[in-house]
Amino acid sequence: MSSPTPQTTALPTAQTAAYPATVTCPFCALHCDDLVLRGSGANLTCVRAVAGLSRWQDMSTRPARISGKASSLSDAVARAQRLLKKARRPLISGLGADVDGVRAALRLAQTHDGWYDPAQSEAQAPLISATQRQGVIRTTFSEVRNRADLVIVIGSSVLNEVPRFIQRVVAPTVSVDGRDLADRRVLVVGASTGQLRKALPTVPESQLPASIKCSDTELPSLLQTLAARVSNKPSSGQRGIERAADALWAAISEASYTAFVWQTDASLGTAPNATVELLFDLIARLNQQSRAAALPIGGSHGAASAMAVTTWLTGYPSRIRFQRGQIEYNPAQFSWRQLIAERATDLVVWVDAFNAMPLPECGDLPVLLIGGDEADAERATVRLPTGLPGLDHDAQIIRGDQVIALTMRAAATPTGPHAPPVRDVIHALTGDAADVLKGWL
Amino acid sequence: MRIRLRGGQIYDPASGLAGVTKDIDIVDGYIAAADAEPSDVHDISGCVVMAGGIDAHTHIGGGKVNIARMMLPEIQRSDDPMAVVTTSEAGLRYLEMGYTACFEPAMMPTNARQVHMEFADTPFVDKGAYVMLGSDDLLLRMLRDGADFSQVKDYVAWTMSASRALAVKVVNPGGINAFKFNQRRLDLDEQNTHYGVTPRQILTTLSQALSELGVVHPLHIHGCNLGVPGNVETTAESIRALEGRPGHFTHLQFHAYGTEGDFKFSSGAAQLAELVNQHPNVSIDVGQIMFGQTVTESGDAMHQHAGCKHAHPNKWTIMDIECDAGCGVVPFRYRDKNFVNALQWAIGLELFLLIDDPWRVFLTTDHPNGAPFTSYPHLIRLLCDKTFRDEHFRRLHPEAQKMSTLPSITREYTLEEIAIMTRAAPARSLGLTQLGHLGVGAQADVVVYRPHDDLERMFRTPHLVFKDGTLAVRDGRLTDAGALLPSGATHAADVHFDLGITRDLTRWFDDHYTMRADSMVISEDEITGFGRGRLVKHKTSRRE
Repeated sequence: MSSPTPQTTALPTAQTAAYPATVTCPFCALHCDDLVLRGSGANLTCVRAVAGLSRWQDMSTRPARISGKASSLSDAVARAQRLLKKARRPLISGLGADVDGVRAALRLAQTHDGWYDPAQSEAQAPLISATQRQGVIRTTFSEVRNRADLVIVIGSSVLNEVPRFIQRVVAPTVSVDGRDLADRRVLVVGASTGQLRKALPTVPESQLPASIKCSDTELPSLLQTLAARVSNKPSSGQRGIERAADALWAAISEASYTAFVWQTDASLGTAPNATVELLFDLIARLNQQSRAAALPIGGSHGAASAMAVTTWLTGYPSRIRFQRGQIEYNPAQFSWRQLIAERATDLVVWVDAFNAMPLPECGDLPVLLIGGDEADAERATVRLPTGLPGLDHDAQIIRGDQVIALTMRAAATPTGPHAPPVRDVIHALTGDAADVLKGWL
Repeated sequence: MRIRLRGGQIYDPASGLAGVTKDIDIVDGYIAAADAEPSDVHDISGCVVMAGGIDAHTHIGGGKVNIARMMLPEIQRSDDPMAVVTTSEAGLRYLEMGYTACFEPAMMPTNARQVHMEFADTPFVDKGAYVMLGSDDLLLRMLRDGADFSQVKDYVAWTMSASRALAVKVVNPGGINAFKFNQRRLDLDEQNTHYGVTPRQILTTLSQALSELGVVHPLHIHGCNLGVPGNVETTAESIRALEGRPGHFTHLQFHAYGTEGDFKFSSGAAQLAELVNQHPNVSIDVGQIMFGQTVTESGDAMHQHAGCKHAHPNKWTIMDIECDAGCGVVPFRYRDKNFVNALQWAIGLELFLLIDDPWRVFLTTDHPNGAPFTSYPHLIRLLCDKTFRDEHFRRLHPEAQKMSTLPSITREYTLEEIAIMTRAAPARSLGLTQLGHLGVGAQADVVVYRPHDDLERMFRTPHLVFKDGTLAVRDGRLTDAGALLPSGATHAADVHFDLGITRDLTRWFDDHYTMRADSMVISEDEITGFGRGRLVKHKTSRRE
C-alpha cells in the first residue's frame, strides 16, 4: 500500500540558525532520526512531530513553581531539597526521561531508600510477564519493513500513536534482500474501516489496510481459535470469530513471514495479559513450520529507556524498592498506583521530561514534579522545569522496539535550551545546586 | 607515589617469568622499574603475582544480556544468582576475582550503543567488544552480487569503527539470516536459501578482510551447527577452510560432538585437539560447562530456537533483529546425571588437556552459556589437580564416563600455563600491548594470590588486586580507594576505511532501513563523556 501524501511544514523562520537541522524526534516510539526542522529540506510531515515541536517552542512559559505559583529556580530547588530531606520513603515514578535521566532517578531512589516504578510499568506488564513466563519471538522495525509480507496489526492505536508507521515500516515495496514487497498485506484486527479512515486520512480508500472484525472482549477467543487452526484442531467459536479466524489463517498460510504488531501503551482489549500470552503462544506455534514474530511497540516518552536502564542497573525492569542497599522486586505489589493509593510513600517524585505522563491524583501527598505540563505543575508542591531530551539537550534513548539505542543531538534555538536536563536537576537536589545548575539559577 | 610489591613470585609469561622472586613497582598507574625508593611497601613474600585476568569471551552487555535479566528474576534472588548479574555486580565480582579486563563477544552493530551504555555502567574493569558480521543483509547482498573486495573491506572497517569494536565475530555464518527465511540448518558448504552464499564463503571473506585491515585479533568464529551431534566434522572442516589464515574458534566445546554410541552423542575433543595442535594459525576458547542452573544467551537465533524444547525453566526469547542479526535467550540447567550434559563437561576438559599450546587456548565458560564466570577458580583446580578432577569425574552419569578419555589424561596445568591462558595469551591475541603482563610500562593491573594447595580457594579470593595502580581489593573486599575508582578503559581498534563507503551506506540505509547510517556511528564523547573512562584506540595497519 502507498504511504500517505506528505504535507510539509517547517519551523517558523525565527528558529532558523546555522546549526545542524536534522534531529531525532522525541515524540513517539519510532524516534525517526530524519527530521529536518528548517531550511529547504524541511520535512515535517508527521502530525505528532509538528504538534510536539509547537509545544516545545512554548516551553519557555513553563517556570519553576512552588505550590502552583511561579518562583525562581533557586527557590524551587531549595524547597525541593527540603522536601527530599524530610521524606523517609519517596516514590520515584513517571520516568519519562533519557538514559542519563533514568540513571540519575535510580540513584536518587537508591540513596533515599525509595520506591521506584516507572509510570508505564502498567502498559509494559503484559510483555514483561510474557518474557518471564513463556516462549517469546520478537522482531524490530527494519526487520518488519524488509521481511514481513504479512503484517497483522492488533487494534488501531499503532496507527494513531506511531503516525509514520505505515510510511516507514509497511509502505516501502523493495526489500533490502531484493524481494518485491508490493503485495505486502496489512490486516488490522479490531478496528473498523471507519476507524482506519480516521487514522489514515490521506490514504485512498482502495489502499486502506483490510479490517478484521473483532471486539475488545472477543480478542482472546479469536486468538485461541486461530491457534486451533494452526495446530489443525477443531474449534467451536461464534460465527463471527470463526470467520475472522478463517480470514487470518488464510493470509498467514500464504505468507512467508508474518509480523504481529501492537501498541503496548494503549489498551489491548479487555484482557491485555491474556491477549499477549495468547499472541505469543500463537506465534510460537506458527514458528514450528513457518516464520512469524511479534513487534510490540512500546516505551514511548522515555519508557523504553527506563525499562532497559533499570534492568541493567538493578536486574529488574520496574516495581522495586531500595532498602539499605538491598533491592526488592515485587511486580504484584510495588506498582506506583498501589503505593500512592495505600499511602506507602510520603513523597511522590514524578519525572516527566517529555510532557506526556500526566501526574496522577496524589491526594495530600507532597509532589515533586520534574518537567510536566502546566496543569500538573499547578498541583505539585514543587515543580522544577526540565528540557526536552533530544531538542533542548543531547540525549540517549532506546527506541520502541527495545533494541536500537540512539543519540539525539540537540537542535539549536536562538535563545538556547529551555531548561536543564533531568540528570542535572536530580543532581542539584542532592548536591551543590549552584554548581550543578550553573547558568540556570 | 611509588608502591612496591616486595618478594612475590612473579608469573609473567610474556616476560618469560615463571615463579621468579622479584619486586614489582607501581608508579602513576603503570609498572615501573624498581630503581627508586618506594613510599608504600607491601610485603608479599611467598605470594603468587600475576597481571590482572583477562576474560576474552563473556556476555556482559547488550540487548540479549538484558533480556536474560528481565526474564529471570528468580535466578537473581536465588542462592546462585551469578548467571544473571547487573552491570555493577559484574564489574565488582570480576574485580574481586582478580580479573581486570572483560570482552563482550557478541555486539550487534545496531545494538552497539546499548553495549557501550552498559559498559559505562560496568565499574572497575577495562572492556571492549567484538562486532558481529556475517548474517547482516548488506554483507550477504554484497557477496551474492560479487561486490568488489575493497568495498567489503571498507564495509567491515566502517562497521568496526562505527560500533567502536576491538574485533569481529561471526556467528553461525549466514545462518542467523537463513533462519529469517525459515531455513533451519546451514552447513559449511550449504547455501543460505535466499542469498545463495555459503558459510565457507563468509568465513573466508571476513578472515581475509580482517587480515588486510591489520586487525590484530583474528576472526572470532562461532561456527555452524552449534550443539548439533556430529558437528565435530563441521568444525574440523571449518578449521581447514581457513587455509592457514588466522582464526579463533570460540566455545569449541559446543562444536565438538560426535555421534557414536547408544546415545548417538560422543566426544570429538581428541580429533579437534589434534587439528588445533597441527594448525598454529588457530586459537580457541573452550566454553566449559559446569553443572547447575544458568541461561544461554547467543546471537545464534537458529540454533537457540531449535534448543528451546530443552529450556529449563520452560521459557525463552528469540529475536530477529534489524536486518543485522538475531538472538536467543534460553535458560538451561546442566546436570551431572544427564548423559549429554555429563559428556559436555568431560569434552570441555578433554579439549583443555589435549591441546598442547596454552598460548592458543583461553579459559572461558562462555559466561553465562556454559556457567557463570564465578566458576573459573573451580575450573582452574580441575585443570591443575588430577585427583580433584577424577573425583568429580566419578560423579558423572556412568555411560558418559565410558565415553570419555579423561581418566587416562594425566596432565596437570601449571601455574605458568594458567597465567598464559588467563592473561598473557588473551592480551597478545587481542593486541592489548599494555595488559596481560608485568613488564615496565604495563598498566598496573596486578593480582597477588596467597598460595594454597586448593587452587580453587587461591584463585577465588586474591589477597590484593590493583587496578590502574590503585589497591582496589584486599582479601576479597573492595577497598575505600577501590570504591572510588574511575571506570575502566574501553578498548577499540582504530581501523581505516575509504570514505566512499559512507556514501553507499547512507543510501542503503535511507533506501531500506528505519534509521540513518549516521545514527549507527558512536562518537567518542558517548564513551568518554562524564568521566566514563578512556577510549584506547589500538592501531591497525591496513594492507592492500
